[in-house]
Amino acid sequence: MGDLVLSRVMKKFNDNVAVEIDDLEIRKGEFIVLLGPSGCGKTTTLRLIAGLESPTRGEIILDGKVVNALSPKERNVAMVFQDYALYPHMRVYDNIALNLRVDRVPKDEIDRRVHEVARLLNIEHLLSRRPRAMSGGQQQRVALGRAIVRNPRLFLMDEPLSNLDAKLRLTMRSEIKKLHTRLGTTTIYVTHDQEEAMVLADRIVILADGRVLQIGSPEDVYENPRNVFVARFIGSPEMNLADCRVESADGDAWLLGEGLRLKLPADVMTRVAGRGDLPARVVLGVRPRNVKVGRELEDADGAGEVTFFERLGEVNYVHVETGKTGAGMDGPGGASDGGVRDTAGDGAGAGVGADRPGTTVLVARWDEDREARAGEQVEFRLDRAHIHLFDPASGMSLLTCGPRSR
Amino acid sequence: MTREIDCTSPGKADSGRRGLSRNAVREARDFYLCILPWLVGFSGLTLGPMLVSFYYSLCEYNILQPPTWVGLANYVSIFTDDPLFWTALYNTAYYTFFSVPLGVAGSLALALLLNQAVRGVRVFRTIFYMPSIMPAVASSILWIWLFNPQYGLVNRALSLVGIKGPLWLADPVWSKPALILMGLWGVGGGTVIFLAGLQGVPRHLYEAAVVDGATTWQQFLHVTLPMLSPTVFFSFVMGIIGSFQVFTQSYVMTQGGPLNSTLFYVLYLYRVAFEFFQMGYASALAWILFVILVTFTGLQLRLSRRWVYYEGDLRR
Ligand SMILES: Nc1ncnc2c1ncn2[C@@H]1O[C@H](COP(=O)(O)OP(=O)(O)O)[C@@H](O)[C@H]1O
Ligand SMILES: [Mg+2]
Repeated sequence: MGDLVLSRVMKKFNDNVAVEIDDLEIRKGEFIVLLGPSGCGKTTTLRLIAGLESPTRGEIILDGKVVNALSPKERNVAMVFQDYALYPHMRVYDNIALNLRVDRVPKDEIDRRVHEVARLLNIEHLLSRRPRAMSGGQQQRVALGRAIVRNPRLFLMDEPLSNLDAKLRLTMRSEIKKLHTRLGTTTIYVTHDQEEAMVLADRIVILADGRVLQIGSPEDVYENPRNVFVARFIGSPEMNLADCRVESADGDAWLLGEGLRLKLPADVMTRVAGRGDLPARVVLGVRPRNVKVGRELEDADGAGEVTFFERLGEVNYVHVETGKTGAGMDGPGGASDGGVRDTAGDGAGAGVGADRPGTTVLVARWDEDREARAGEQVEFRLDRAHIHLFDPASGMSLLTCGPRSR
Repeated sequence: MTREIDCTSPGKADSGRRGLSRNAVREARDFYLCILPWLVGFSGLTLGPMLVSFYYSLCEYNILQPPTWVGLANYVSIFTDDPLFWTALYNTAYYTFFSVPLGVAGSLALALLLNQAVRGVRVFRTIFYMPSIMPAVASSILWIWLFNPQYGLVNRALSLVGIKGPLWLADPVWSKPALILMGLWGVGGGTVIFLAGLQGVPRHLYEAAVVDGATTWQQFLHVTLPMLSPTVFFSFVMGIIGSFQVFTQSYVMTQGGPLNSTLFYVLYLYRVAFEFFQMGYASALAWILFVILVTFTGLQLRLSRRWVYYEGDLRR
């Protein structure tokens, strides 16, 4: 049994279900990130765990004990709020010391512990300042200090970095990670930033509309998204998704999409869940880094026209409009065209990335040194080992877990 | 010169009249035009009379004859030769000492109660505020009845729990406490201000305090009170200024009696001015009160740096 268990927990705010979590187990010392878009119930979940909110039904179990009726203090949790919630009229020292004073800890021990924490967080020189007279990053440290000083059983952090500027966010991110490594306190961290989640988490819990969509290690949710939502939410740029028709020919399964035609290799077929049959329509997913683009490729899966070159510096991307080939152009793209056009545009609404009927934009990493020009005709090939297939109706993945190694 | 340049170079405007751009001149003209009504009112109705009264305070003046200069004679005799001045000052200080802290605490306590999310809380807020809009004379007459030793509601209520109430307004010992008690009737006015202050306390601070393990009382002590300190301060300053000028109650209810026990400063001043027609002497009394209040307020401002927290204040 985990250190913390949410069992059939549900929270309603006047008839609106904000959170519904059937089973979530968190192990001692784990760094768990609750990840999801705004309004999906992350904060509510955290507040339920903290004891600032009580569940409409279900049990919150800490160390094998149901703690529903216990106050945050009795649960021995510490929370870092999104806007830090430092007491503005108190000096940093008193901000950190308050929860020890409330406990009537002897003065000299308070002093020792406050200084110890301040040293750990590099805020010793700020101890006599007021929060208002400090930068966001410094306030953030104080908020962390206030949480750490009492040695809580659980750290709860609600988007603690979202008020910081981009650069500071990266610094604090790694500091939080280091802090966790050092203290080993079980941490539940809320964010809407998938990158933050990937970097920090031992395991990510992906929430949408108050429900858990997937729980797994960063690698797991990246490599094996259980549904279209997770597939799109994790990874940047977003995973490419294309509506495809499934056809069999000579015992092979073929995917036919807009400007795209590819034979599914046998090892993918063995990973198809259930009886091994694919439905007539699927959503094909592939990450930009797993799409090879070039002027002329061997074994191209399709062709298209470059519409946009995205220069990020470190890595560059091209947007390729598939199914849009220049006049007089022949080749594989042309061949598949006729077969697919009639199916385009009526794919079930599983969040497929079709810009408009008849064409699909495919984002791909651009590895050549030169810049791609808009209007340029290119061919592309998908890395078979990293394609995903989703059911267009339910959005669920059709593949069982793929090979772990990359 | 364009407006943009004006904005980015305030030094230009400071460099004397010559440096003023047309815009700045126009803005200055508009500014004085806008505050003109107030300026006229202030100099004609406040500043002028104040200066005149200061002059009178150095004169003997009985309205019928023109004022004659006596120098500091009025002030000297107030301090050395006027037991009623000291009585009035003592009564007023007594009243202030009890009524202001009680009033502030009462307003705050009431505000905390009326800040709860209870059904019908708006109705209660209205009820508690109503006494503050009642004319002082009307409520004074009402309270004469409430304090009536035989038939009054106050003593009736006390007799129910077996206490024989005092004579209140007729007893020199109880007359001031009676008026202080009556003053608490109007705490609703301060409550409104505290309610506004309470709305401004971030909810997150309470949650942080709960997570820190603070009890309700500790939350009040460590969050509510510090966050409301500007309001508390304001209430104290205004309360002291107001209660040093207490007049209507004693004028209507006790006429300063019994045995001058409710002879408050302003009531005494009023008598000197409009019953004995010693305008010079009364003006001197007024100026002494003015100096007392300015001193008190200044002292409070100074002390406030120790305990009042202002949002956005960067002081240590
Ligand atoms: N106190 C509340 N009263 C009513 N609805 C609330 C309250 N708190 C949260 N909600 C609702 O619950 C849902 C989840 O909110 P929240 O947990 O804050 O989301 P997140 O933190 O993921 O952005 C939202 O639809 C929000 O409107
Ligand atoms: Mg939130």
